[in-house]
Amino acid sequence: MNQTIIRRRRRAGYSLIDPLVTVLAFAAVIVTALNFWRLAEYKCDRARIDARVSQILRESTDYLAYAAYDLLPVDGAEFRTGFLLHPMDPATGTYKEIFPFSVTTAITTTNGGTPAEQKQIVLTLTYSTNPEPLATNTQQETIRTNALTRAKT
Amino acid sequence: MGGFTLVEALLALVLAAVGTGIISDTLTGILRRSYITIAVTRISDQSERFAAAFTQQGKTAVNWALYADRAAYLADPAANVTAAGNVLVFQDQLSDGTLINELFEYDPAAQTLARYEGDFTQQRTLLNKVVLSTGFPTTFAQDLGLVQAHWSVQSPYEQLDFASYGSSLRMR
Repeated sequence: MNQTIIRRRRRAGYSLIDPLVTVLAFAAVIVTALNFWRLAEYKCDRARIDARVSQILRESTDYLAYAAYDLLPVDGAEFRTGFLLHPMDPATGTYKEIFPFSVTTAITTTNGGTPAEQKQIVLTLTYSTNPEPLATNTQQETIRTNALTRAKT
Repeated sequence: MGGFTLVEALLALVLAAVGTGIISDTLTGILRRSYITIAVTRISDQSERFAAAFTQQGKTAVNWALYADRAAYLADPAANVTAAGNVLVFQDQLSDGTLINELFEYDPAAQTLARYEGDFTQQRTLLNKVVLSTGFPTTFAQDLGLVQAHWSVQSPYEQLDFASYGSSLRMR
């Protein structure tokens, strides 16, 4: 007895897992690209912030080094305030003000009221920035300089 | 034999195009952001060097004077001295006794801040797109012997504020 074997051609197609893997891979590419972009943006911002912080400290130290003794700020005074960066806002065409900072002075006076009077000045720079690329909160950072000594005479 | 239908192939092409576009945009954006950072850093460094020259000239000067502008300085350097202005002249003395002028000038019309040596024909440094800093009606001023300069540079990406101070150690 002859037995007829019928071979049915299996139609090729996608299983459920195929599109899921594709979507997952696609999502991974997008997420990676976005995070890569955020990280690069944050790195550039940090570089600018660090440069600006150095500049503010240099300017403030120069002022205290060269100003007349009578012009030196008093102990605890808020010596300087402002914003770290002023990036251009493309939407409005104006410069934004971001990351506020303040510089305060801590002054220790020795031999006060005598010709040998001296002031030891420590600057404290306080500023707020984003602690990490995705952070929406701001983190306050503080930098204290070494003591700068000014003599009255 | 199985194969892709036209719709499947088109869908795959669209997905590949979108993925490639996103990666391409990201890389382009990162490169552009790096370029902006380099450009801003370059502008900042130029002003930092200008500030360093200002402080150094201030420290070594034997005389200095402020003028409202170039015309006032050229008209009568002795009579037109002011407490604040847009021209600052430091006078330095070389080891052989020769006096040499270092001139700093802010031109509000051209929005330039320049440093000259000797006279206004010998330009040493030029900063462009400079405006007055908020709260300072002139670029240069003095306060009890403290010579100071305040200026802002407006780049297409960021406004950068600068301040520089100097005091003649030989005039203290």
